[in-house]
Amino acid sequence: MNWLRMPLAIVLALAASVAICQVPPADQQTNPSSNEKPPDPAWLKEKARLQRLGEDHKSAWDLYQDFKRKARGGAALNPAALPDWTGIFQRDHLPFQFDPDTQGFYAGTTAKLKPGPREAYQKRLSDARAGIEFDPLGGCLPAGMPRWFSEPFAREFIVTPRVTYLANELANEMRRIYTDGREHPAPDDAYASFDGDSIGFWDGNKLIVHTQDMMAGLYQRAEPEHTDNVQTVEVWQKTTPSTIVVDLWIYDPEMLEVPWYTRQTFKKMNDQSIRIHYYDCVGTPNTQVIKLPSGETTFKDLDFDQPHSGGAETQLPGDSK
Amino acid sequence: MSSRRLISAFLTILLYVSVAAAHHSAAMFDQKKLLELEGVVKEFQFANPHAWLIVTVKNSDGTTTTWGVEAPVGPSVLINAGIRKADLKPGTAVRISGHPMRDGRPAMDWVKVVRVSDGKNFQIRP
Repeated sequence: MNWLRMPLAIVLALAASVAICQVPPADQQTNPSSNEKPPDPAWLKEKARLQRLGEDHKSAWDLYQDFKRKARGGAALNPAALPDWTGIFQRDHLPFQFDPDTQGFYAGTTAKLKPGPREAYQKRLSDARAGIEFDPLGGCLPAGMPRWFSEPFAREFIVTPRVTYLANELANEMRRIYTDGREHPAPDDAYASFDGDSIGFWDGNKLIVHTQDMMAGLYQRAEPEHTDNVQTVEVWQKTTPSTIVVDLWIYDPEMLEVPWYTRQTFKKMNDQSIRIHYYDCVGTPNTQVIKLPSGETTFKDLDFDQPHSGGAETQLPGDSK
Repeated sequence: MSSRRLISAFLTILLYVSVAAAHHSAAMFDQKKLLELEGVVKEFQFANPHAWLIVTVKNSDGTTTTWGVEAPVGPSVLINAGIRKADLKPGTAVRISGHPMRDGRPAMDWVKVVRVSDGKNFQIRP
C-alpha cells in the first residue's frame, strides 16, 4: 500500500497544510452545476482553493487522514437519527464530462496531465472528434471508479450505521463505503476491482471516503485514462432536500501533474414512478455494438421488425443472426 | 507486471475481440448531419441501456422504411425528462430528428421527437 511507504517528509508537509485544510459547507457556496452556462466566478475562486487543498497533500491518503484528524476521528452514526439520503437521484449535469465545469462533449479535460499521457489523450480526443471511438462500456463492463461519478442513469444512496451503499443503475453498480472503523485490506489481501475498496467516516452530516485498489480505465469517453494506482478522496453532504454534493479529489501520480479536484452534484428525481430495476445490458435487440478495425464503433445488427420482448436474445461472439 | 495490471490487460484484450452490447458511444452517428423525417410509431422499446423508438416512414416512391431512433439512456432518465411509453404509442404520428448513422442504415440518435397531434416536443435531458 503506497501510503505505508510514504516518508516522514509527507507527514511534515501534512502538518504544514493544516491551516487551509477545511472544506466549507457546500450549501454556503455557489452550485457549480450550472449546466452549459459559464461557471460562476465565485465558484471558480472556491474551486481553486479546493484544488490547492488537494495539491497541498502528497497523496489521497494524506488528505483523508487530515480530514479525519480534523474530525477527531469522526463519529459513529446514531441509528435513530441517520442522515436522510432517501430517494432516487441523478447527476446534475450532462453526462460524459467528468468535470461539470467543462463546456462541450469533446472540449477537452480539466485534468492536468503529464506530458506522455497528455499526448496520448490528445490523440484519443482527436480520433473521437473524427468519429473513431470505442467505449469499454460497450462490452457490458461497469463504469468503475472514478468514472462512476460521470455516468447518467438513476442513483440510490443508502445510509446505514456501519456501511453506506452508493448505487448507480448503470450495470447494477454498487459501491460500499465501510464506516465501522475498519481499515483497507492488508496489501497481501488487496486486489484491484472496478470500484476499488472504500472506507470512510462521518463528520457530522458529511461522509468522507478514501478509495483505492481500483482498476485502470477511462474517466469518460472524451476524458483521459487513469492507472490502477489511482486513489480518491470524497466529501459527501446533502445540501438541500433534493441535492447531494460531493467534493472529489483524484490522485494518480503516473498520469496527473497535480491532483484533480472536481465537484459532483446529484439531484433528486421526483417522479414517483421511477424505479431502479435490474440493468439488463442487452435490454433491447438493437443495442449490440462492435469495434471496427478502423477503431470506429457501429451497431452489429439492426432489426426493427423484431418486436421487443423485454430482453434480447443471447448472442455469443461468432454467432450469426 | 502486477497481477492487477495483468487482469486489466486481459479484460482490455477481451473487450476488443468481443461483440459488445451496452451503454455505448454515439460514434456510429454522424454528428455533422441532422436528418428530419415524419412517420408513425411502430414500437417504443422502453428498456435499458438505450430505449429505441421504432418509426415507420413512408418514402417518396410509396415504399416504407422502418427507422430506429436511439435514446442515449433508458426508462428512468426518460421518465424524469417527462417521456413515458404511453406518450408515444404505436400509431402515433411523429416528426423525428437526429444524427443519422454513418453507414447509411436507417437509424439515428434521438435529438428531437415531436408528436404531430399536439406539437409536443419530447426532448431528452439526461
